[in-house]
Amino acid sequence: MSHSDDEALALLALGESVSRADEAHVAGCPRCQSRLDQLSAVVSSARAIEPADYPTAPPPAVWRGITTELGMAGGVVAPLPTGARSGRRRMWAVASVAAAIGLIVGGAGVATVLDRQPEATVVATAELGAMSEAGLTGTAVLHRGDAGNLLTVSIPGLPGDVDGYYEVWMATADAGTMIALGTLAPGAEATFTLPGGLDPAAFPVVDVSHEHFDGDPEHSAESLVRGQLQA
Amino acid sequence: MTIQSGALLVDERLPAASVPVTAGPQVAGAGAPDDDEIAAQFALGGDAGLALAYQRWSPLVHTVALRAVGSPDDAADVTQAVFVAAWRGRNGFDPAKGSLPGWLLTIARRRVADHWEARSREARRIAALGEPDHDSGSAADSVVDRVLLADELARLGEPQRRIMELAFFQDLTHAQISGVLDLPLGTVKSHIRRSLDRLRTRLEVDGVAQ
Repeated sequence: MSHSDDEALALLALGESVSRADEAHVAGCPRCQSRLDQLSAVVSSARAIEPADYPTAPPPAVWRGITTELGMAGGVVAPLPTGARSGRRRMWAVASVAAAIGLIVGGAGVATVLDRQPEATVVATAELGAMSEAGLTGTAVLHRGDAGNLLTVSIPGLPGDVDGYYEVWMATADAGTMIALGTLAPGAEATFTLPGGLDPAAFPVVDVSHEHFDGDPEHSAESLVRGQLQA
Repeated sequence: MTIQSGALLVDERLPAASVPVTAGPQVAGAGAPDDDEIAAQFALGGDAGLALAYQRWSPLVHTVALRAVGSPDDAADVTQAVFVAAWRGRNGFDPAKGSLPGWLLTIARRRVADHWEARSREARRIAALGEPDHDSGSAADSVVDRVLLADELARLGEPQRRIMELAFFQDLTHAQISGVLDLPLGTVKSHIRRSLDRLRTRLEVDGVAQ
């Protein structure tokens, strides 16, 4: 018979069952067997991927070290397209830290934001769908007010006895770039001021994650709810 | 109720920040050059070639180092050493013979081995111990494979990426994936075949030669 088709081999590599004819053929065909072995190796490596295996950039000091060691002038430095993207993310990190400090230092700032809310116009809303077995759902509402864009997030029944804390993120449509807006306390909705200059259209995904007190500022990959803002 | 970590339906392996967050080199010019153009520029030897290669592949090298040596400081040192060695030895890189990331990762693998060798020498000197039993070679190889596959997964478009995550990490069958994502069975099957092939090719092109 002819060789098994590549779809059957791919499914076999993933551990799925295929037709008896395909199975019998592969068992007796060195060419299909060797192709299956290659694909199975890919599957087993991929299944061993841990969150920390996703590439993360080295700290800035590394590039400085390289140029110093090689005696290059700083003249190599000028903006690249992806640099603009990462630069924006850095700006956000700074902005959200500043926002967090603002919240801690002055409760008055929060009151101001809340006072302004009634005047804010709803720009978009997101139904936040369940992403964990806890099955929680919620809503996110994007307002435009005098102070800029505000995002109000509400997750009814968010458990209080959590090991860690909850963090609200806005992400690009592919969730490849995520910006932390701040933490979400259980039992109440919270409103976050989006840093000026953030185009909400470029970050349409709202995500709430369960974070741990591990000092790692990145997304824990444990999403509770997620949804897309729609006008 | 406590949220169980690891008890997730989807996106368990969501990369937190696969986009390089670098204050590193930034190269003037419009439009992002593709991998081959970067490799060609690197081989030519202009400073921009190094900066472009660093911008594009330092996350790969750094993550392999981080996973293989453990400490962030050591990983930063290894990353720096790899790019310095690559630049100084760039005459030994031939774009016709292999990919630049593959070459960088070969150097990284050697640096990781050097790191453990230095460690065990130190340990022997201090504790007068016997042979070290750290198998840095094969461990580094599997790290390279995982990091390359994670990188390629993150580059798959949707719904391919979601399909492969469900197949790999949630062990769903193509029929279950078709139900979850509301996609035709044939579409899911052909995405699986093509994505798996793309992942295999990435390992072949950029992986460390066995």
